[in-house]
Amino acid sequence: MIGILIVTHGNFSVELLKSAELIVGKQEKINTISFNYGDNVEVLQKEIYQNIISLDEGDGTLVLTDVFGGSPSNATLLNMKNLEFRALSGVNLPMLLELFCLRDECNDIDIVAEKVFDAGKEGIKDLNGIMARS
Amino acid sequence: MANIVLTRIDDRLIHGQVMTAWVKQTKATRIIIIDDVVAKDDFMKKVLTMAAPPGISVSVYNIKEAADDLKNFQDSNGRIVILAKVPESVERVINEGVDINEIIVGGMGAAPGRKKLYKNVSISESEKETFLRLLKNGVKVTIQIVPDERPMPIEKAFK
Repeated sequence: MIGILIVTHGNFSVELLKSAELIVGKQEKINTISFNYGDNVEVLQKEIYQNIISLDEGDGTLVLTDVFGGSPSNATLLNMKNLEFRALSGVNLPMLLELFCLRDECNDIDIVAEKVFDAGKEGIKDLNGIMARS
Repeated sequence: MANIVLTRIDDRLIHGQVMTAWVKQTKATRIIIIDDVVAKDDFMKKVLTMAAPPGISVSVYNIKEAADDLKNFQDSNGRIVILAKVPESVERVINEGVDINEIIVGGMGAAPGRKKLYKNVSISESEKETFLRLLKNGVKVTIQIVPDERPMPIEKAFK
């Protein structure tokens, strides 16, 4: 099973997971990291490193960060020097729901990453637009 | 001599929205990161450059290179943001002859040897001495995380 690591500023990662589990049930092989006010980026980078390794049981690890350019994403990118893993920024609930359903059936991390990416983008809809067209 | 519009100490260096806000506020055209360790790490240089606000150029220098670049800067329209992780880097570049009279401290993370000073700024004894020396030499040092926040003179946090 593909391992998942969510890294965000504050408790967004924790709460995002909690909300997703409300909908699709408890998940395994998933960790969250909260980067808080005053935390150290180098410590963050190491924590990400350790989690990527411990979550990988042969199918790889997918890291999801909150926003490109922020410390969670930067610290994740820096780990790409020494580790192989997939990572996406801009994590949202549609992505997680897609991911949890998909990884039960698919262990190819590149396929999963691509579908999760699409789900994240497609998850953003203009509700007024939908109503207007219905 | 270069037109330095902001000198900032933040050990997260360039990170998305916070840097974008400062760049907008100062109308900066260029970011110069000053750090001996980061300057040697090509991978980190690449990541930091990617995280920069669009349209702004980023250079990553060690102290000597930064001093040379800043002293010989030709572009009179350039507005430069200097970004360092620690106060020592700024002090050393001043000692190399670069004119800096104000520093804004935006973040120094917790670390062994450091104690929390104020908000997200933690400093060690030797970093405190560096700040005291800078203050003594007439450099204004304030703590300000984002442009909207009120700056706080660092001396107040030392009390």
